[in-house]
Amino acid sequence: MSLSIVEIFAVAAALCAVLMAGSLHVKRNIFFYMVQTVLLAVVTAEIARTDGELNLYLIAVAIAILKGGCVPIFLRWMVKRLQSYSDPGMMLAPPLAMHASLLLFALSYLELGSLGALPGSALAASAAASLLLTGLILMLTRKTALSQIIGFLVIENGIYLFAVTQTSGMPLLVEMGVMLDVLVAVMVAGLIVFRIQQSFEHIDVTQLAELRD
Amino acid sequence: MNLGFEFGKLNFSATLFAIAIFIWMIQSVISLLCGKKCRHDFSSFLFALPCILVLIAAGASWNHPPVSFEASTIMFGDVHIAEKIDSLSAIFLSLLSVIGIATSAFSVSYLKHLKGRINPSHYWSAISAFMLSMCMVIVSANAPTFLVFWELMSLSALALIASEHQQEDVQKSAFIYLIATRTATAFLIAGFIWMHSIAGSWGFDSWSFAGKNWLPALFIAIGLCIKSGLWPFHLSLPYAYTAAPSPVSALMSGVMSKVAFCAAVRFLVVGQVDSLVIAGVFLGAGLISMFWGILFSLVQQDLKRLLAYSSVENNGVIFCGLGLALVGQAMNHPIVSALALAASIFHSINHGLFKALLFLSAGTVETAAHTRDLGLLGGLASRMPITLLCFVVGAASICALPPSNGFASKWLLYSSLMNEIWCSSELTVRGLALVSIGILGLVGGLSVFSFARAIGVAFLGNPRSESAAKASELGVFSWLPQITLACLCVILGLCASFVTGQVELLACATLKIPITSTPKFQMPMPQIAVLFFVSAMLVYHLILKTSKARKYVTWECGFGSLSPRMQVSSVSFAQPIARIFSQILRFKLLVEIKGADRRHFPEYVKVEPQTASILESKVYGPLVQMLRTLSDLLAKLQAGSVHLYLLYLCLTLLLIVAVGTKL
Repeated sequence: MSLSIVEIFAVAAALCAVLMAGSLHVKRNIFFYMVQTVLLAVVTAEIARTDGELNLYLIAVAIAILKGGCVPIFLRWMVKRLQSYSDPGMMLAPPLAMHASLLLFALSYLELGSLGALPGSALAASAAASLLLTGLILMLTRKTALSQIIGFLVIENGIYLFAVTQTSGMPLLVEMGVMLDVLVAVMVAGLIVFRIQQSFEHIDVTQLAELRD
Repeated sequence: MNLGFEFGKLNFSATLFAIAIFIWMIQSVISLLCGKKCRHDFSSFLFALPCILVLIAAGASWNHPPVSFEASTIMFGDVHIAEKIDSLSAIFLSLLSVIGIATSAFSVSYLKHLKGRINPSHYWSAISAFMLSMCMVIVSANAPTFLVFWELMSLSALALIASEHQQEDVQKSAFIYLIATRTATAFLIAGFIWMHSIAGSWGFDSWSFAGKNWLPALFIAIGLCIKSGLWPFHLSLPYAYTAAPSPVSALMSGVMSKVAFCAAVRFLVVGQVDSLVIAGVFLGAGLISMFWGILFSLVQQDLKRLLAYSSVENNGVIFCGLGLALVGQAMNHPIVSALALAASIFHSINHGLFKALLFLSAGTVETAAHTRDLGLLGGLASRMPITLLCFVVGAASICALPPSNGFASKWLLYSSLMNEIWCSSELTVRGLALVSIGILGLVGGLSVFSFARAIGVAFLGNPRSESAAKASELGVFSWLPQITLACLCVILGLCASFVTGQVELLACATLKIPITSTPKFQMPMPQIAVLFFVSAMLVYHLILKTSKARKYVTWECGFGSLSPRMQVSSVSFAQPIARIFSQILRFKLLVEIKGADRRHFPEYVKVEPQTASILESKVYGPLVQMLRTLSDLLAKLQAGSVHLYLLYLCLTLLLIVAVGTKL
C-alpha cells in the first residue's frame, strides 16, 4: 500500500487530534493543534504543487500564519490570563477518550474508505471525518470553555481538510473568508469566556445549564 | 396590482365576479387601515355590493356552459390561479351572496348593540376576507387555488370567532376550531398530493377517483368531513358557533359548511368515485351525526349551542344524501344517485337559508335580552313578535314541516332511499336503506321536539330574568334580514316543484347521466300547504279551542305566590327524551337536599342536570393527555447541557455517515 504525501500528512494531522484527546493539559493541546494546523498547511501546499495552482500556495501560507500562528498564540495568552492550565475533564477519562477517538478513526476509515471523490483522497477523507469526530469527542470530554474552543477548532480543521482534499480547493476569496471567520470566532469566543470568568468566577460549561424551556 | 384579468376577453359573469372579488379585497385592507374610524353603514354597503354582483353573476351562469378564467400573472411555480363558474358553483354562489347580504345588514345592528366588545375594523376586514375566500374556494378549478383560499377561509373564520378574544371561553373555542381546521387541511393536502402524483396535474378536471384511486379520495373525504363537522369530528362546531358573533355563526353554518359539501360534490361525485367505502363513510358518518347532533341539541341550555348541534344534524342529512348518491353511482342506479344528489344539494341550500335565519334570530335574542341561556329567557313572544315569527318559520323549515323548503328536500331524500329499496337486489343494501329511513324519521321527530323546546322556553310563558323582561326589537336592520330569509324559505317551499326540477337537472348534469332516465317528481306543495293549514285550523278550532281558559287561584304548596321559575323549564322539558337516551348523553340529575329530615319542608333543594359528551371525555380527552405526556418526554431531551447537545450532534453525525455511505 503506497500512500501519497497528502494522505500521510492528513493521517498525521488526525493522529495529532487523537493525541489531543489523550491530554488534559491545555497548553499541550494548543501545541498539538498548532502542529496539526501546520500539517494541514503542508497538505494544502502539496495539493497546490500537484495541481499547479498558485491560489492554494497562498492559502497554505495563510493557514500556517493565521491558524497555525496567531490562533495558538492568542489561546496561550488566554490560558495565562485565565489561569486555567489544566482541564478537569468529564464523562471519559483521557486514555479512554483517546481510544474512543482511535476507534472513530478506524470506523471512519471503514465507512468512508470508498468515498474519495479524487484519486488518492480516500484516506484523506477518512482522516478528515476522524478529525471532525475527534473534535466532537474533545468538546464532549472537556469541562472548561477554553477547551471547548480548541475542540471547535479541531472540528473546523476537519471540515477544511475534507473540503480541500475532495474538491481540490475552493476559490481564494471563499477560503480567506472562512479563515477570517474562524479568527473572529476565536476572538469572540475568547471575549465571551473572559466575560463568563468575570461573571461566574469559573469557566465550567457544565454549570451553564440554565438556558432551556 | 395587476391580477391578469383581461376584461375584454371575459364574459359577463366572470367580469362581475372579478369585480366583486376586487371590492372585497380592497375592503379587507381599507377596514384594517381605518381602525376605530371604521363606519358600520358604509362597511355594510361595501360588503353587500359584491354580494349582489356575485348573485347576478351566478344567475347569469346558471344552466350555461361553464366559464373558466385564470389569473395567470399570479404564479406559484408553474401553477396559477384558475377558476371555473358552472351551474354547481352558481347555486352555491347564490346561497353565499343571499346570506352575505342578510348578514351585512344584520351586522350593523348587531355590532352597534355590542359596542366596544368587538373591534369593527377587525370584524369587517376579516369578514370580507372570509367572503372572498369562500367565493374563490367554490369556483376554484385547481388544487393550489383551492388550498390557498381554503386556508384563507379557515384563518379568517378563526379571526372572526376570536372577535371577543378577551373572554377565556372564546379563546378556548378558537383554539379547538383551529385544531379541527388544521387537521382537515392536513388530510386534504395529503389527498391532493397523492392525486397529483397519480393524475400528473393539479387541475380538478383531470382527476378521476374511479377504481383503485379510492384511497386518496378517502383522505379528501375525511378532510371534508372534519371541516363540515360530521361525527366524530363535530366537537369544534358547538364551540365555534357559540363563540363567534351571530352573523358570523350564520355565515359559518349557512355557507362555510356548504362550501365543504360543494367541494365534496366537485371532487367525489364529478370525480366518479365508485368505491363503496367512501359512500359508506359518508352514509355512516351522516346517519350517526344526524342522530347524535339532534340528541345533543335537545339538552343544550345555550340557544346558539343548540343551533350548532342542530347544524351537526343537518350536515349529517346532507352528507347522508351525498353518501347515498355515491352508493347509487357505485351500484349503477342512476335514479337513486340523481335523486339523492338533488336532495342533498337542495337540503344544503335550504339548511343554509334557515340556519342563517335561526342564527340571526338567536343573535337578536342575545343582544335584546343580553343572554343566550334558555334558563333565563322566556316571554319574548309579546316583546319581540317579528323575531318570534321568523324563528318559528326557521324552526318549521328545519323540522321539515310540510309547506316549508326543509320538507321538500327531506322528502326528496326519503324518496331516493325508497328508490334504493326498489332498485337494489341485495338484501343488505335494502335493509340499510330501510334502517336509514327509520333513523331519518326518528331524527325528524326529535328535531320537532328540540325546536318546540327552544321556542316554547325562549318565547312563551313569562320572562325568567330581568333582562329578558326588558327585551325589545332592535330595529329595521335586525328584522329586515330575518324577514327576507324567512320569505325565501317559504317561497322555496311553495315553489318546491320547480326548484326540485331545476336541482335534478343539475344533479343529472353533475353525474353525467341522461336527463330522460330520471323520473320527474311533481310535488304539489301549494296543495299540501293549503291542506296543512286547513287541518291545523280545524284541529285548533274543533279540539283545542273548546277548552276555555279558566281563571282561578291555584294551591301554591305553601311556598308563596307563583313565580316565573315555576314554569316548565328547558331542563324539565327535555328530561323525558334525555332519560331515554341517558346512556349516550350521560344524563344525570344531581339532586342536593338540605334538611331532608324535615320531610315536606326542606331548607334547600338544588337540582342540576348534567350531560357530558362521551367523545370529549373518553376519546379526545385521553388523546390530548397522551400528546401531553409524549411532549413532556420529548422536552426532557432539551436539558440545557452543552455536552448533551454535543452528544446529540455526534450521534447524528455518525448516523448520517452510516446511512449516507450505505446508500
